[in-house]
Amino acid sequence: MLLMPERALKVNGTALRVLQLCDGQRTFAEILAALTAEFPAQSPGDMERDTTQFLHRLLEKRAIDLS
Amino acid sequence: MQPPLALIAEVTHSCPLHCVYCSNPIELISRKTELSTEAWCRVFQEAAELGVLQAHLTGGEPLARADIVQLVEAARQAGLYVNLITSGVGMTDERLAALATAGVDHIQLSLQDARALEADWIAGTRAHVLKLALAGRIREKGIALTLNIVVHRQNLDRIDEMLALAEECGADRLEIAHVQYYGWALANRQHLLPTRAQVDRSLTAVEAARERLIGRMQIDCVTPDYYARFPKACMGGWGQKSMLIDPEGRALPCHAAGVIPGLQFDSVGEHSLRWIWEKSGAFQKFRGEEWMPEPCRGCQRREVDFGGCRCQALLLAGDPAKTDPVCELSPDHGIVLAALDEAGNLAEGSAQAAVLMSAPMSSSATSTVPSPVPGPIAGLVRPDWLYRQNPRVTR
Repeated sequence: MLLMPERALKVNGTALRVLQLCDGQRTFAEILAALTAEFPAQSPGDMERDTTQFLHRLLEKRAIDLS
Repeated sequence: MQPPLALIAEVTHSCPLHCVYCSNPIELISRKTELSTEAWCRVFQEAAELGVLQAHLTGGEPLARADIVQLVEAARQAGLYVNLITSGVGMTDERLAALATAGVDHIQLSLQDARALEADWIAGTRAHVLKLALAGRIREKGIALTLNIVVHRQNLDRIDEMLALAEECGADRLEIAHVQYYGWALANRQHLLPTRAQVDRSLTAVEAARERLIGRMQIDCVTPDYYARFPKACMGGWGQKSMLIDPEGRALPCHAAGVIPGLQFDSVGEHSLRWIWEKSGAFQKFRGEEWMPEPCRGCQRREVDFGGCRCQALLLAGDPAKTDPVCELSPDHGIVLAALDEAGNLAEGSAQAAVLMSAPMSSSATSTVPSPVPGPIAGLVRPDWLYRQNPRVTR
């Protein structure tokens, strides 16, 4: 569960893994590489597109910061 | 039954601000009957066990409690996401550092305007400059920050300044919060209700800022109640998402529910939070659809807005079990239209008055100012504002 003021976002599966990888240290490329390795069923292209969209949504909600 | 998502902990009614639209009840709870530190700690623990995820510590001014750091710590340790809703008055560097250590997740800081003179008039005290400095200090600590700017007829035209100020403050989120007409705001409604032209202009400005600031600042702003076609889903439905505990420990479905006659609010001193959520008559009264009158009962939107706000139905139409009069389908919608009509007519009157006024400006923000003044705060300096009073302090 990702908690923000007045919001709670239930995350599971790949999305949960993406958030766990957002540790303030890994770059986007490193996060993507880890995901591609862990979820071989999904093509690298799809993974990049989905992860980008997901992180953009969270950025718009100000749930994550870029550094 | 789903547990509540949020616990709203109204830890005190005491407040250094005296905003003309204060959402606290007209009858405030005295400090001497406030819940103890231990009682609040138990409430947070019970809330977490019930399945609550977020605690919103509010007031009054939560910093007016000497034990606020302990309360934040207790809520955090119970596993709750802790949001501190504050005016910022009383936030020393030491306290902010202690709150950060205690684990506060998010601070919501209120602003009354983009400009100091105007903001301080609305709040009935000098606080604006201090608030701006505090916004920076909160960001330095790395605590997520939401600015909440309360808007109404007297300041809505400064929306662009407000958006720029929030951006300058580096807020993660900005809430443009229209005054809602309960309590003190209803008492002062004739001076607070904006005109339709003001509302339309502000929504356009907000939309442009949203696009410009995407990814940097999230902006929450909705069409104010009286100007919307349908009512808001008040509290996400009665007894559905939130439980409010007032300063003396009574559990309410929303902050204004105390105005509804005949409801008995059970106390955390006598019952567990779980018992209250599941069994308290006040929480069951308007839960679900059984209570609904027509046109709600047969309306497709009944699961979207739950018939709107029960308190507003009482305050405007005299019956909490009626459709919220804000709804254009409500048989009582004429009450809202009449208020809007009055707001439109008043707008012309006050614009004229601002040109004609010539009395010198008073230096004190009390309700006994003799006559309005020229210049930027002409609309604010008026003799008939009703300011909230603090509960009497008894030591």
